[in-house]
Amino acid sequence: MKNILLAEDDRDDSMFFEIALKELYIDSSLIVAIDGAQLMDTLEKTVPPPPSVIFLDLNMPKKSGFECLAEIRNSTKFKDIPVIIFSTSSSPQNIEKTYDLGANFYICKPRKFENLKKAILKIISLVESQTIMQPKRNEYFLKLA
Amino acid sequence: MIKKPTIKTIFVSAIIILLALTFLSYFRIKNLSESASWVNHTKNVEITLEKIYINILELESSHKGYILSKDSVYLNSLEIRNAELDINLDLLQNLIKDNRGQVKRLSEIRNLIAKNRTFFRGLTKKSQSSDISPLVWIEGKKILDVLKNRILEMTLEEDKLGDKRISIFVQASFLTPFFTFILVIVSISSLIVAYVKIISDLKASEKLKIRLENKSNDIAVSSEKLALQNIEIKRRAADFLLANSELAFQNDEKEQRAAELRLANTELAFQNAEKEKRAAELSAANIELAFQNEEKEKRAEELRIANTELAFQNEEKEKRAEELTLANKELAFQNEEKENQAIELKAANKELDAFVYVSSHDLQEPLRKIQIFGGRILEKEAEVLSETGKDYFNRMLDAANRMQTLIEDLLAFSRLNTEERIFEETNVNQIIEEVRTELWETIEEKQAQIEVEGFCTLKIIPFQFRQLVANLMTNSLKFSKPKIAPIIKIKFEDGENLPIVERNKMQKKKFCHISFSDNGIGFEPEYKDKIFEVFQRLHGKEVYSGTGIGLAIVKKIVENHKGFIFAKGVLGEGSQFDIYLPA
Repeated sequence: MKNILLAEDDRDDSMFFEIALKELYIDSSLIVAIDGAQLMDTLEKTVPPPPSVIFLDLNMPKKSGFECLAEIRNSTKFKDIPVIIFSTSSSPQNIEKTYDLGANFYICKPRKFENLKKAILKIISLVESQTIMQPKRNEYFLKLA
Repeated sequence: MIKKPTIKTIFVSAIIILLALTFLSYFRIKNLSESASWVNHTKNVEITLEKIYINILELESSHKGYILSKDSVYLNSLEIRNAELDINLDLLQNLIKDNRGQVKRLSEIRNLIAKNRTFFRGLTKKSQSSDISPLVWIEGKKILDVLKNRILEMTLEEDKLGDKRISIFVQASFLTPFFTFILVIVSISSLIVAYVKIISDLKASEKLKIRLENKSNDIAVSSEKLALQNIEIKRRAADFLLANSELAFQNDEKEQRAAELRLANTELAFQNAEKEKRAAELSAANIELAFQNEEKEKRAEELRIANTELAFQNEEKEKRAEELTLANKELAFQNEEKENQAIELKAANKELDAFVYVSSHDLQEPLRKIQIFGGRILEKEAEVLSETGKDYFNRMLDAANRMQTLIEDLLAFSRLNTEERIFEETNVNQIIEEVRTELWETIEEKQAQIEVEGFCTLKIIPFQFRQLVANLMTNSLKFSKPKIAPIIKIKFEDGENLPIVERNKMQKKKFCHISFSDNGIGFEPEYKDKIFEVFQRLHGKEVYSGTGIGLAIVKKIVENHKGFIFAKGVLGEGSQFDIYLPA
């Protein structure tokens, strides 16, 4: 049973995420925070135990993904939680910045549902095998061809 | 030329004449006084003779008296008469000593006197003892008579001498005044001559004196000038002394320089020899030039005519220049306006860039939803759709995909402005290899050949440069000729053939030239600039897909690197892109 935390302000995207998880038959519980502030609140309330993984959107109201990421990595309680950036943007600047802040992978929100499923599966399998660590810079951006 | 007698000669000759006359007069006077004294002398002799005669008579009478009276009175007078007689005899002796005849006569007289005396002494003695006979008296008378004759003789002789002497004296007393008169005349005339001469000389000297005074005035004036000049000269001399020491120092400097120059001279002598050889060559060239000169003179004549025309045009142009100055002022004002506008435009551009970026980003969200939902419908609800519905859905998804590409390209283009530009020393060959790997699918499909010639490392923005290579390569693959394998050649050269106009725009003089050429469909040369503009497409979407942003991005990237890009195309043969980047 995986505790997956999704920070996402877009209802459609969180719906796609939920459906994808369901279709992948992953045994998990999904908590969705609709902005950065809510994400941090949720973390404060639920940790410990820490979630298995956080999927973090960057462009969010109240508190951006960058701010959340920085807070998580600077906190002793949360710093070891795997954080996957899940953004519409594929701008190199954002990729670089989040890598430097300590995110584990960067996923550009796919334009095909199948690719979304592939991405989630890859991350979950990494989390399960407990080998999820920050990779080399050139492997950080997850390509979903 | 006859010399005028000077005062000196006049005086000298006058003195000589006067001296001569004086001597003559002196001798004449002396003569006169001598002859006078001789006349006197004669008188004295005659007087003395008479005195002697008288004395003898007195002696006789005194003797006779004593003898007769025996009175002693006669004895006293006898002694006085004897003494007087002796004195007169001595006197006469002295007067006539230089006349022998007279001296002889005088000695006879002395003897007679002595006889007389002896006679009277004997007589006196006899008288004391006896009387004197008269006979005895006669004897005495005889002696006295002889004496008397002798004295007469002497007197006669003296008379003769006296006559001679008087005639000499008379002559002299006539000659002497004559000489004195001549002396006076000569003296007066020489004085007159001297006076005249002195007067004339004084006049002459007066004239000379006036002239001298004039001269001396002139000299005084010029003296003052000279004194002033002297002061000036002294001042100048001081300056010269200073200048001299300066010159001495400079001299030393110059000697050193001279030594250097001698060395340089040797070098020049060698060069001279070289130049002489060259001169020989030049003289040949000169002959050729002389011919050309003739041609040019003809041309010059034509030019003179043209010049006249130009002078007229010049005037026109000056009028025009005035108008232009006015126009310039207007332009300067407009320029200021434009600068203000440029500042405003820069601000606006920045805003626009931000707007493009944000909107492109935000446009992606709904587009992505359309794509995902469309895909989900085709996947999950296909069985409930008619074939037409499925076709429409597919077309919708195609459009959505094209929009995605468009947005992505726009985003990439606007990112080129907003992104930070970090230059890194990068191996360009490696970037080409990476892009080749990225595009391998298409390369395989088209069986394309990519040839890289040379090697290059440049300071570039790696991400942007990768995009540049990718865009150019994609372009070449896309616009290849159907059924012909594309050949893409990438060459690195030094930037020597960069057009001068562009080179002058840049501070940097060294450039690297990268050329991309292909054997594709090419393009018409007139589009060589237009193809770099955003959304410019040379082909219909149905034939070649694309957004029309690819080459705009390429150009932007080159500009971000402060480089230049030129496109060359030959329709149906291929195209070439020349990129110049500062090395």
